[in-house]
Amino acid sequence: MMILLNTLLILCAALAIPGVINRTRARLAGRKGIRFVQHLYDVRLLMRKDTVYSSTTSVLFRATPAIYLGTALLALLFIPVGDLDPLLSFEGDVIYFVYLLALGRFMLILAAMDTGSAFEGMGASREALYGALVEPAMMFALATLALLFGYTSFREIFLAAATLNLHQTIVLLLLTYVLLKIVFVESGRVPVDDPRTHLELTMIHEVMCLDYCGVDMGMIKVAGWFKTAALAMIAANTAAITCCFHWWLVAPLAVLLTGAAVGIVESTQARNKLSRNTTFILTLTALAALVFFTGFLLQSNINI
Amino acid sequence: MILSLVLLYVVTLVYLSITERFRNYASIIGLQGWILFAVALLRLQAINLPELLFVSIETLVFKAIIVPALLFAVIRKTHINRVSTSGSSQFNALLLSIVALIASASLTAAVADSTVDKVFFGVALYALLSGLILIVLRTRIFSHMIGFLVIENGVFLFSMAVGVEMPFLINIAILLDIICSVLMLSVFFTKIGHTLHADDASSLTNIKD
Repeated sequence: MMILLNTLLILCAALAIPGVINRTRARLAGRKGIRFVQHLYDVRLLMRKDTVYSSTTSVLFRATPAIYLGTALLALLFIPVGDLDPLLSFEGDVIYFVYLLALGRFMLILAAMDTGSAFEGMGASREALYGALVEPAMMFALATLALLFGYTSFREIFLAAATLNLHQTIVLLLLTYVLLKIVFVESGRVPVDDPRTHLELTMIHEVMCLDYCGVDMGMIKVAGWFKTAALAMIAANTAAITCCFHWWLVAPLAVLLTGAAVGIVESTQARNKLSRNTTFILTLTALAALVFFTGFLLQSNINI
Repeated sequence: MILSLVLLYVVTLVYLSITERFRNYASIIGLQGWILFAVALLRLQAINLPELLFVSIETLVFKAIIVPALLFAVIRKTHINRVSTSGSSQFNALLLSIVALIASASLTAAVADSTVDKVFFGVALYALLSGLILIVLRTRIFSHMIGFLVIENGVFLFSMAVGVEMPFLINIAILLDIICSVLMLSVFFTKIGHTLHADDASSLTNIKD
């Protein structure tokens, strides 16, 4: 029963986060904004449309949306919501989670190159670069959780995190900040990428999906929501460990923290120049490395 | 409390490697001064009161107030704002900074013993390496000055890693060092700079007897 509730909550969070982002942006711009569930209607519309494939594409291009959605959904099912048990869990699933996200990205990059389009190849190259830069940050962040609590499974990590001292709390708060920034990069949001841009030359994630339409496009959009929700839930879990670790706090925290943070940044900041993005992402890796080594030194019983 | 201050100090070191404007350099040096002041107050309570007062007030006055003020004055006077025009140097500096962070943490875990405070030792080492990276990668003399100040801050933290007696002696030495170097920089820019226009270290190679 608890496992079912966990799955339902995390799926609801995945569907709610884009709505909160849109609503935050609209409120900060002084507009009423679109409906909260407008993104769901948009995807329903896409799902009703037929798909058109370019004659240059192979079966790889057709299979990619399903694989991308499958990996994102599978990754999502490993994440616990607060003190609830996730649907899937095994020792080492932290590493498996990162590999699942990497597999989805890899397939999308291959599909983009499969089209033979210069724009999509450019987007694939950028996505590969940013993916290569953000993955060390994510590995450092997850390794810090594993190091602090002595487990390599999300379920075990967050269940073991009952008693914390002040030093661990400080490290975990900094880790939450890093994870939240990783959400920005992984979901292709401002300041790294702009999902609303209409100029192919400045696109990163969106340009790889230019040849998709209909059901395939809908699957890619939903997979993006799942990825965002998975990372947002890890960030919310990490933040909630430090105060009150219950599912009824973590679920709304994941939605509000990510939705509000992304909405506020998109309303107040301009997008980075592409040359600045690498520095931005590498800064995350530096901060994640700092968190990891602080955690490592804490484990060796330093006395401050 | 000290851990959060030390972490904030390391974050300022990371941002030093990616910042592009000298104003940000001066602000970060000022922030580091305030952090070191707080760390000195919390950390050095074991030493007697006059020494504690000297170390903390000297740190506050010089590192957090006078040196940043002098740096801002130099920036205003010389209108030098940017480190460089391209973004690639920031990326390289950050990459080296991460390597330095990993090297510092690994070395700390490997060599530090019970008489050395691991956190302070590691952060001091990282500060020394960050200062060196700034000096090596940047060509403008102002950046070299900032690198030197970062190294001085690292030495101050290092003195805290090996006991509570050292900061008093080291602070007296650093005090002279910093004031002399910042004053020399000010004189260089405000008096000599009009004739030489040598804010870039590479242009000094043109100077002949």
